[in-house]
Amino acid sequence: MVFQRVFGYPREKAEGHMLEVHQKGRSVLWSGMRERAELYVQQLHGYLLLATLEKAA
Amino acid sequence: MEICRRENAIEIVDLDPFLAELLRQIPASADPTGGDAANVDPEGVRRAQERLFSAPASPSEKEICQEWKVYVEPELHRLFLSATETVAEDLKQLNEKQKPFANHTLRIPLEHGDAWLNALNQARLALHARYGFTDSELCDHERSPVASRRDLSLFQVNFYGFIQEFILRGLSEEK
Repeated sequence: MVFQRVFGYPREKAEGHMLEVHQKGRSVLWSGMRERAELYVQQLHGYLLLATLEKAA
Repeated sequence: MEICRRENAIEIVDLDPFLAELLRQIPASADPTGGDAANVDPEGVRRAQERLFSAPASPSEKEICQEWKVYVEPELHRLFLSATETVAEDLKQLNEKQKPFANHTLRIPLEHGDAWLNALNQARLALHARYGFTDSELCDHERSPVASRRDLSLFQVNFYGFIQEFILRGLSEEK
């Protein structure tokens, strides 16, 4: 529900990320400009998820 | 205890005094300052605060982390407080006068659903961080009896998760 709300992802994609978090402990949810990434991280923290910004490799 | 969807609310009926007391403890359990626990278990409270207000990036990203402390954390504090205040307001229903040891009814308006999910999440994460429950403890739903404050907190974490599931179900039925 959170990934659908924050990123506007369809249910299947959101569930795929959720499953990846469950199995691998993390999932790359979005990549792009820093300002927008910061906003997404802030929203995810609002839902109490552990989310961090990382520079793209 | 029975939970059902009734019009624009989720109703918990036949709520016994013990479970009602656990619900009353949601705001205190979610309190990032630890409330009374701050004196008894300052280390546990620190862990809970770290979990509720986690870092936005690796510690080596000093600028991002510093800006976050100044600009974002106060916003998160306000968001979390607003959720627990909404829940505390709804919980006042449990203080209405009735016969001693009588069961209660609690009505959670669906428009308060997000606040409840957030406050219950805060409480669960804070308790989890304070007591350091293991995965096997969290999955052991048959665990009994409640013999210590730690056991009670584990029960609380599971009970709050159960309530969250029903609220989520209620919210998704609404759409």
